Amino acid sequence: MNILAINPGLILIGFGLIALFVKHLRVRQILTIVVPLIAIVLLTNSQSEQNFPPLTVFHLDLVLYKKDSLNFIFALAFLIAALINAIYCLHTDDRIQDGMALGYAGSAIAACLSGDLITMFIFWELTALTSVFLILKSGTRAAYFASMRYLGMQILSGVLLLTGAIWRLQETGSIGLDKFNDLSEPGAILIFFAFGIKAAFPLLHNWLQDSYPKATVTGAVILSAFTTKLAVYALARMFEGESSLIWIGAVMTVFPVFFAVIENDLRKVLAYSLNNQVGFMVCAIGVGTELAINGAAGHAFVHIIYKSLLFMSMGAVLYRVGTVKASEIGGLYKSMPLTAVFCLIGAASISAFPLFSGFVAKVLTMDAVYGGGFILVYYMLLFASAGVLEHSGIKIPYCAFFGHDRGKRVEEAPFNMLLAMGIAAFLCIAIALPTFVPVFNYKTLYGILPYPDYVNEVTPFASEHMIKQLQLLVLAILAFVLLKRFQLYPEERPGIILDADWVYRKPGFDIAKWAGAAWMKAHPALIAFAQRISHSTYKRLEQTCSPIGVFAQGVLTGGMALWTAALLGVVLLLSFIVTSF
Amino acid sequence: MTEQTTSSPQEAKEIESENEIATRLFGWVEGKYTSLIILIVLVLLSLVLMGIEWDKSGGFYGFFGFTAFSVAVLSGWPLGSWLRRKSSYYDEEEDETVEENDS
Repeated sequence: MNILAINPGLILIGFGLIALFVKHLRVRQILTIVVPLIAIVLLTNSQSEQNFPPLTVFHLDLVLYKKDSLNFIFALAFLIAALINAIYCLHTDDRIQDGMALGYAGSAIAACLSGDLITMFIFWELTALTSVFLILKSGTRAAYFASMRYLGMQILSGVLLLTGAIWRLQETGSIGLDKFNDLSEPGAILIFFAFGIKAAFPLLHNWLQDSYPKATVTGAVILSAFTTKLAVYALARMFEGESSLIWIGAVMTVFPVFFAVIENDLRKVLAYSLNNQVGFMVCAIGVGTELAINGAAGHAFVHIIYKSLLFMSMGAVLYRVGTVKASEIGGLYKSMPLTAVFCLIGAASISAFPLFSGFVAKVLTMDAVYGGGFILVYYMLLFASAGVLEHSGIKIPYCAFFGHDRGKRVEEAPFNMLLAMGIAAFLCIAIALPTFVPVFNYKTLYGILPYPDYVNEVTPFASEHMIKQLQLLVLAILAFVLLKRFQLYPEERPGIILDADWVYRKPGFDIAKWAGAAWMKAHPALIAFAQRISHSTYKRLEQTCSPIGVFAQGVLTGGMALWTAALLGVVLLLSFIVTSF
Repeated sequence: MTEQTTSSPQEAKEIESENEIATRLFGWVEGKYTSLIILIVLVLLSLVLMGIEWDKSGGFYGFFGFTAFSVAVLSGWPLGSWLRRKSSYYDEEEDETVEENDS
């Protein structure tokens, strides 16, 4: 059998399953690092657009592996993230987390490289089932409740996807991943919302901010890479050019800015920031031009790396200090200077400073939106760009490593964490430099975009792009310095910030509790009432229809029996005559 | 989650050497006039950047960045007082006791 015909995600899932039973730590550590490396080699060496033989199940041809230029960049980013995450997790000794992390990454990769809706659904659900352990393993009561809410939303997404796929199959006879041209097509709206839940569309987003900050130190890093970007890929695959995505994406970029400003938990700030970044990608998919799809895919690629880096730096702080509450930390550059440097590189990347990865990717999306004539959306994205600088570019490093020194003195992050952060930081710069730097320049990234030929027309380091971006960022930083100087910057305060999940976590939960209590009280009375009804009905029926009932009394009964027998006899006779001829 | 202590001499030595890295990388942060210098540099840089292509865009992106950032931050005052609740609001522990089995 040709090993290149195997979906690399399946290899990760298989070894993830094995890792669950491997007690020897060193063996498990080798597995978690070597397996993604092998998968990268397999992915990069297998041919694109090759039709591998499908697996026929219940008369359905399941295409387990179909690689093309769109899913390649996502799968490659997932594998790089899996590798970096594995290094980041080396200090831990936890079979469940190691196995589930591999399985989760493998499921996302397998879903991404699948060639039909049913195969995608199977791995779509597997991402939910494997990733929930990364939250549960945190071991807190809050993490338990959050993980259940997370699982509920993820399973709902899977159910919608499956229902949509079956609908499409019934109406069109196809389970392919062909693009929908309109949301009114069979199954389209269900699949749209299935992807929307995983992409954390506005009002469907709370599972993200609820669960990621409550995951383990390493779990949050792993979670940040896969689920939402898998949804971005799925949207790009099936809803490219769907105009509603432009506005959904634009709203996604703007609203998290306001929550991130006042949020005290820095991992939650990063979760809002994740929402905001996915918004840029969703918006680009809605625009749907080749340039825009390049923007979405390129943004997803760099985002996976710099967001991992930021989560890793906050994970290191949580690991050493025991908290990432902005009101309780500060001045940690004195204890964790290297972590601070890596965090600053991640912050510069997400803020899209020139020479950092966010810049070369975001320029594609911004050009596509502006060029498409979506001027209001363009300004919303510009506002969101300033917002990203505020919460991820400044607030995260400032609150954790600079700002008010709370006197906490701890060790630097463990070597494996620093190594993982170092690799991610290196990649953030290596794929963002101008072309006069050999190999390590933005053309490396542009070369793996879904439409590589098209991007030769885009030059991110042209003065027009540079000046726009630098004006925006430098003046925004000046605003920060002035607001701080005049004490207009809100102080970080403990507490939680209410979001849309308040609806089901407070009144929704209270209504459910009230309904439960009401049912418990009404239950005996309702049962007795039902019993009385059924008893009296039975008695009535008995009085009417039984051998001692009203219908059985009098001469009419005998006559009716006689007539019935005669009628049956006639029918028999007629049927005999008809069949004789 | 175990908070790291600095009790053992070896650990203390490690932290001391790390502090050297901190001083080399970020020693300037503690300077008496650092914040003032940063402010002056930013103002000068802003003027230069706004001046470039002034005739084309009139420094639009600079003004936009300054205003957008200020709006985002200042919105934190009313939003904070409206949306902030105690950590125990949802009757769930909002702690960060993270289980991490060290190898």
